[in-house]
Amino acid sequence: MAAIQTTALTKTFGDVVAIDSLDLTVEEGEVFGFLGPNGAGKSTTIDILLDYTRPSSGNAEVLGLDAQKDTMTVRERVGVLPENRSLYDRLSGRRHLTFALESNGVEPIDERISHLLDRVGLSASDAQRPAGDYSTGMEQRLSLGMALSGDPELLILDEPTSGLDPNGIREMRDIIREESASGTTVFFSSHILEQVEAVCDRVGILARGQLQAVDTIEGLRDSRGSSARLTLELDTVPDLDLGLIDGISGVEIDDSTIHVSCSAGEAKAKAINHVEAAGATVLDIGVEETSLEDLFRAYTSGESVPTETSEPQEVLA
Amino acid sequence: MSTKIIARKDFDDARRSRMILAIVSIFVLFASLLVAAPELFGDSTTDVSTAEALSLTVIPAETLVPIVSLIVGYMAIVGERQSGSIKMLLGFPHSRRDIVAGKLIGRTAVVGLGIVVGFTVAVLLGAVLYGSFPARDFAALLGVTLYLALVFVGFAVGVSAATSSRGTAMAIVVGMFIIFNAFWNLLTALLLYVVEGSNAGEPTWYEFLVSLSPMAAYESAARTVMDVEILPLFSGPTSEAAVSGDPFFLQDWFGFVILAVWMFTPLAFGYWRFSRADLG
Repeated sequence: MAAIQTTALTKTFGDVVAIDSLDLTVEEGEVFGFLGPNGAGKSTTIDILLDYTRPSSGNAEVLGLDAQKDTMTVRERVGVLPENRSLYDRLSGRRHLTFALESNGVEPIDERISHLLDRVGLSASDAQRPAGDYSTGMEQRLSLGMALSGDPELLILDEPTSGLDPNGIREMRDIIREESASGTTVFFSSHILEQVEAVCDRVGILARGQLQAVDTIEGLRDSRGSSARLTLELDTVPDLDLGLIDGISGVEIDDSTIHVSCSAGEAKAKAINHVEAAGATVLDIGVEETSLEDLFRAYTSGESVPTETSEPQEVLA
Repeated sequence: MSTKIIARKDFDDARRSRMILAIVSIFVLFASLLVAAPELFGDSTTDVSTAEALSLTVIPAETLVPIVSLIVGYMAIVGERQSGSIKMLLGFPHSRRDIVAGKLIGRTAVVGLGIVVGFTVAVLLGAVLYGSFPARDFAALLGVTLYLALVFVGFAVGVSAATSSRGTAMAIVVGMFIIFNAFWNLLTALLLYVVEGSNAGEPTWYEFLVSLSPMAAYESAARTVMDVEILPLFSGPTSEAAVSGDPFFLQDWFGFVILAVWMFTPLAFGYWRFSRADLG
């Protein structure tokens, strides 16, 4: 049984097709990153899984249950972190957690509250304050605590890292890993890529309402050709055509530096050997793997992976 | 269970907003002033009973209770849709019906608390001023006024469930209030003039039309349960002494039925719309 399975799932709003015949399978126990630019249809998909929205055609199953017919059972077994902030400004963090625990029928409330606060890194004094006073990071922690309150089999997190600082992102990631280690399936959407790369078993890339790819990060890189860019700084640039070497898809020369786009790992070594054999001395070597950003842009724009424009990625964790 | 959890959450939210404090204060001031009015402004030679003083609140209550109830109720569901918190609510094992029912109960409790405290303070004040404690009339007035609050909160929650924007919900409740509070008698009188000419009597259909206003229905309902006479404001002079020979739908007790229709119709329609809505 899959944790999430959609079959030819389609949703239109008037003339706008939000999701277009989506077939998505998320296996039990995996961490699945649901990637796509804003407006790709990620939230609409999640909305259907939780029956906030009804499909125009096709169907969705969550934990083997029909998302539209067995909605209440789905909600009992799933923990949800909705998109954007959705807390009550005037109610305290503690009151929110009380509501969540009562709703899931979990007891004893006080004990569970301390446990959840601990889990998401909120202090007891934070919990006394109204949620309206919280920073974005605290809001997300509280929302996550509520999502975890029923000890769910499946966690659905809609943009869980939006508005978080690098520290908060790392903590969110740690919690996702812990949950996953305890057997929970985690399905989360994001338009920010580094976060997905670090924590997901598999990713699905959604654009214009359709799945463009579903694979592991490595699998995506391989399937999309060019996987690394080799930069060689030389004393002189020899007269040779590296482009003829198997596994090299492109060469760019910039004064005494050459950039080589490699689609296979061994091509990098071959390139260096050829350059040295042609009489040049290699002064420095740089290797840059194709970033997920490039892959993502390629998939969502429908173009090939743009190796020559890649810039060093901002490392967030 | 779900209904209770949602109702309590809603009530707590209202408490934090100090809305409850404001509502309780309004009702205490309102009921106390009216009950004290005969003592303050009246002719001191006539004897006034607490029950009579209490009955003075009926007419103003039929304006005040609807206003407060509509304000408290109209954002109940559409507000959660606009803020996005509805997704949090529905992420837990609550159905959309639980939400409508929980909101109805939670928000009625907010207005109800104001009414109970306000009228209790007023009747105690009356007992001190006029020396009698009309337990039966007090209970009856309290009951029928709470019912009025439930009806108007129900109307507003129904509207709130049926609409997807705050503006629409507000326009509907404000429009409803203005039509039935200010223009209903005028509109029905115009219709009477158009249909029957200038020197007509008051045919049954006209009387029924007048009685359909929820404010008139409340007057009729209050008259059935209270022993003291209540001057009609909305129900018109003719139905003041609704006699037993009138058709059943013109008798005072029918006010309860009319009020029930005012609550259930919008609630049912609102729930129907809400249960089908895409909460994107």
